This record gives sequence, structure tokens and C-alpha cells, in this order.
Amino acid sequence: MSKNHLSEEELLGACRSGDRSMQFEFYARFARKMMAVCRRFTTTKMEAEDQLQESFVLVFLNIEQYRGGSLEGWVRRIVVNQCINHFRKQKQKLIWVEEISEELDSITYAGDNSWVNQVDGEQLMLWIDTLPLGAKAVFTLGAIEGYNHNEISKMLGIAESTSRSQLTRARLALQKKYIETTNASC
Amino acid sequence: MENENNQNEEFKNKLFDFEEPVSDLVWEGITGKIDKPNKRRKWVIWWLPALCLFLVGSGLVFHKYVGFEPNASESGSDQIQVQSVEKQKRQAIEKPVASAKTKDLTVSESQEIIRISADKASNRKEPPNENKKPDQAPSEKSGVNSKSNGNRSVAQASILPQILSDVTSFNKEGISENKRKGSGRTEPVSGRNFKIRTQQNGVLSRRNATGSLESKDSKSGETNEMAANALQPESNKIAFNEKSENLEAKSKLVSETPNETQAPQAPTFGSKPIDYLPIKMAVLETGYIGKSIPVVLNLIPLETAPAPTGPIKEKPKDRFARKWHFGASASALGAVQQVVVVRNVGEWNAASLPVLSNIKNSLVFEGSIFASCSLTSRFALGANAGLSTWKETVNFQTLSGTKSQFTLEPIPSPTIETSFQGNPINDQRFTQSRTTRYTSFWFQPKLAFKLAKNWPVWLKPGYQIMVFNVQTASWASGINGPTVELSFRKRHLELGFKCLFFRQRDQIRFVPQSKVNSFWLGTTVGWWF
Repeated sequence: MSKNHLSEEELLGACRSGDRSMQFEFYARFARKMMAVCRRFTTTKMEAEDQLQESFVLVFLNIEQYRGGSLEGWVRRIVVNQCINHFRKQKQKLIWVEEISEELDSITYAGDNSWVNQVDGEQLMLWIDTLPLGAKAVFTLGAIEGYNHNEISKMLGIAESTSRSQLTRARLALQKKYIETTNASC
Repeated sequence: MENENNQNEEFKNKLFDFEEPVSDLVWEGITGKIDKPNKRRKWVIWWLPALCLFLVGSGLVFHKYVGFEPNASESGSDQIQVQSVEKQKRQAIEKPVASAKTKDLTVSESQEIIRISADKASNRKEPPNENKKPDQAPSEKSGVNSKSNGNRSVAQASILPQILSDVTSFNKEGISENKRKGSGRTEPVSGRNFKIRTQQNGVLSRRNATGSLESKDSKSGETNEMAANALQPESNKIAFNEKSENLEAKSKLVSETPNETQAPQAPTFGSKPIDYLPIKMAVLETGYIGKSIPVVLNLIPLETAPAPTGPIKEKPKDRFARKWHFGASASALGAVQQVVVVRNVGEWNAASLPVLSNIKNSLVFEGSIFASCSLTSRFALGANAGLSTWKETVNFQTLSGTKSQFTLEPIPSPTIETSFQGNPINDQRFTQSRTTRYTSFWFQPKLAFKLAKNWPVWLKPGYQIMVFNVQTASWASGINGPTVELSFRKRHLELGFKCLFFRQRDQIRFVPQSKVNSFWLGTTVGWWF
């Protein structure tokens, strides 16, 4: 049987027994997606890889505690929590987010995100990378991971209003990038 | 909110499953970090038992070859010193014996064996018996040493001087001398009747005047003509039936009996060494160390071993026993029981009052310095001097009486707290609660008995004398009472339980002349310098 066709239960059982090849299979199945998550919480690729590594170490050490449900969701949760813990250690960068808010205020938000479908994912990721770290975290948690502002405020230790404003400004910043790119291409 | 969710949906669809390439280094880092706990676990699984086995094995080896000195002082440093001395002695014994396995003993080596073994043998109370029969079985003589501590090397060595002391040497007159260990005297034997005795397998052998070999069983006492005589090489036989003149002439060549200063030499007759049966001792040793069961066969040839010479030194007894120790201790004691005997006080007869409760709670903290002198390995004399401070709460409740009936004397203490509860008019119940802090200096002479020689638990009865009372600012204000301590001492650290009996005047004096009998139990932690 090919490893790619292993069910999640089989993969989990093998990982729990310490089978290194199965652990690698587990890692390979989720690593690229989780790397994208980490990239959205960090500023450099190296930093993202560090967080990915720490996250998978936690996954393998705590794999006994998995109690069912979506395996990818469980792994993603661990990765997000790890990134947020890393975030908390660098709270100074969150404060820095406020400094660019005035710059974003001058942009009028279009109101719909239809432009997102016209942009390549890779390009969108590059634009997200240019966001300040705080706005990037709020945008990732709110717009992509699906957390509400209450959860975001608790996770990042910020006010809900800050979360709302940061998310809005992040969208504006991305739209601005889109407009700038479109104008440049025209 | 719904609008915001719709706005986020586009981003989510676009980026939720987005994938990014990952460096191979990440997986290497993950495996490295996962392996660390596993490696630690493996280390624990394999090395910890191995370490335990090693320690157990070392302990067994230590116990087997070094042993514990039951008469050593309880102090750790003393034990180390005593054991090191004993170890040196044992090594000194074992080294020559071990070397004897592979080569013949030299004169000096043999002498060293005998000298040290004689030191060991000097533990015997009775002096060397000069009138002991020469045919007495050596096994009986060596019984003291052989059973001493299971050290077979010592037992082996202790047999040697008794065997070898019986080797006959010759004087100038051709008269053999049978020199005994320790006696320092020689027993002249007729020239024609001198006999050379040796031992093999518990059978004493000797040559008679005619050169024939006799053997005597040490148990049965039967003497048999040795048929083995014929087996001796002809050239090695001594012509004992020669004429006496020739014997005298030849005897001049024989080395003189070694004195105390001269190195002993192997007995010879003319240019030939005296022919006697070789003495061989075979000892089979076995044991259990770890998983291995070593078996050692010791063969000890003793053909050239001479008689012992030199004075036998007495082993110093209790050399380390008399020693001063100084230490410090801290203890916490809690009150277990409190009884107040109330006497008549003026117009108020407290004894006539029905007492509902009379409980004293207190916790005493003591710090002390102590000194003791170990007179023997089991007996010590010492004294403590310390400072005690405690806070005591007394709850006294009666069913009847009034507040005015209590005589409240002022107590010179800054921390006194008194509270009165209850309403004596309504329920005729009077409750007094008082908390007082005490501080006192005390002195405590002690005796100390070690319960068993090789069991480091000491019983220390003493008597605590209050030498200064802070509350009343007076010297020698009272005798606190007897104390009993049970302590365990390991090297410098002492842990113990302390029990203190009080019988003193109650310092609270809400009832004058009351006596307090109290019983305290606490723990002590001491450090010996």
C-alpha cells in the first residue's frame, strides 16, 4: 500500500508508535500548508521555518492527545498557537502596526473583495508579507483562519477595536497594492 | 458582521489551502528535537540500571575486600580514617599473598606477611602460650583470625607464622632450636632427636633422627611412618644418621638463629638447604559481583618462609574514639499536650470551678550550639546551649465565675495579647485566651548512648536548664525539664527527634503558682563541624 493512501487513523497509529517514515509522511502531508500559515505570521521565511519546526515538534510530542475531529484542523491549531506564542514574545512589533495606520486611512476601501479572485495566490502572499506584523497577524487570523475579533483580541492580547481596525487596514493595504499593481500594468 | 465575513471569504478561499515550499532542514530539525527525549529515555533505560549494577557491585566488592569496622567511631571522618588504616593493612597483607601465587616468597616479603599477620593475631586476649604443645593443630590456633571478618587473606596469613615458627633451626652446637613466635625463647632439642615439622593437608609431618618421615594426624594423634619417605629424592635426603662429630662440624656452617636485627635466612644444612616437605595452601574463593561469579584459586607455596622476628605491635584501640565534636542544630517543637494544675488563689478557688477546656498551643523554635566528646565508640558526653523562642496561646474556659475572680498579673512581654470572650452574667461562662511570646536561653547537659556499635542511632537524654528568661529578665529562672533525643548521624549531618518534658511555673500567671506539665515533640537538624 502506498503511503499516500494511508488513512489518517493509520498514519496517526504509526506516528504514535514512533515510526519515523510515517512521521515523515505525516509531516509531508501538512508541511506546505502549515508553512503558508507560518509565513503569514512571520516576516521572513527563516523565521517561518523555525515556527513550523517548533510546531511539528509539538505535534509529534503531543500526538497522543489528539482526540478525533479534523486532523488538519488540529495541526493547524497547534501551528497557529505556536505562531501566536512567538508573536507574544515580540509584542513590540505589534505596537509598530499603529504607525502605518494613518498612511492607510487615506485609502478608501472599495467595499467588495472581488478583486481578490483576479489575483494569484502567490502574489497575494507577497502583498501580505509587506503588511506590518500586527496587521498581518490580525488579517491572517480574521480573514483566513476564521477567528472572530473577540478571539483575536484574546489571542493577541489587544482590544477588539484594535483587531477590527487592523483587519480593515490590512484589507485596505492589500487593495492598495492591487490598485497600484493594476495601474502599473496599465 | 455578516458583511465582514463575506469580505473575508474571498481571502479564505484564496489562501486557506495555499501551500509554500519547505526546506529539508525543517524535517531534520524536527527529527533532531524529537530524538532528544528518546535518547534521554534510552539513556535512562540502559545506563541507569547499569549504573545501579555498578554501584551494587562496587558495594559488594567494598564490603568483601574492605568491609566495615564495627568498632569505628560514629563520625564519618573517623570511619574513613579507621577504614583507610585497615585498608592499608589489608592491602599490605594481600599484596604479598597475591604475589605468592606466581612466585616464591622472598625472605623480606615473607617476613612482612608474618609481621602484619602477627599484628592481626595480637587481637587475641591471651598471650602466646609458651607451654603449648608443638603438635597442636594450627587450625585451632588460627581460629580467632579466620573467623574475624571473613577475609580469607587475613586468615591465610595468620596461619603462616604458627606454621613457620615451628620450623627448626640449628645453633652452633648442633642443637636445634624450636623458636616460637612471640615467645622470644628457644627450646633446645637434642641433636639426634631434633625434628622438622611441616604441615600438609592438616597432617603434621616431621623427620625423626633417623631421617625417616613421620606423620601425625592432628586430630587422631596417631603417628605413622611415612611411606612417602621413599618418594623423596635421594640427593636431598639428609644423612641424619651420620656420626655426631661430623654433625657438629657441619653444623658450624649452618646459619645461626636469626636475631631481632638480622634478616632471617632459610635454614640450611651445609651447602644444602634443609629438605622438608613443601607447604602449600590452596584456597578456593568465589563470590557474586554483579552478574559474574568469579572463582579464584589461590596456591601459596611457602617453602622458604622463615620464622617471624621482630616485636609485635599492639593495635591501637579506640584511637579515634575520644574526639570532640562541635555542631549547631535547629529544631522545631510543637506542643502535644498541656495540662494546667490550678491551685487555690485567694478568694477564688479555681479548682472548684468546672473547667471546660484548658488547652495550650505553642510552637517552639530553637537554635543551639553543642559540643560533645565521644568517650568511647558508644558513649558520649556533651552539652547544648541555645535560644528558644515560642508563641503560646492558652484557652481557658470555665462554666462559672466572673472576670474579677481572675488575677491578671502583668507579664513583661511586648507581645502579650489577651482577649476575653463570653458573657458571665448570662451564661455563667468565662473564656480567657492569651497569647504570649517567650524567649529564653538555656543550657542542656547530655549523655549520649549509641544504640548499637554499627548502627548510627544515638539516644541522648539530657536536662534542659533555663539560664535566662527574657520575659522576666532573670538568670537561672528555672529548670525546664528532661529531654530525650533520638538522632541519626551520617557524616556531618544529624537528624533526630526531640522530646522535651516541661514542669515549670506557668509564666502567664493568670493563676498564680500554677504548674505546667507539658510534653513537646519536635525534630532536630544538626551539623557537626
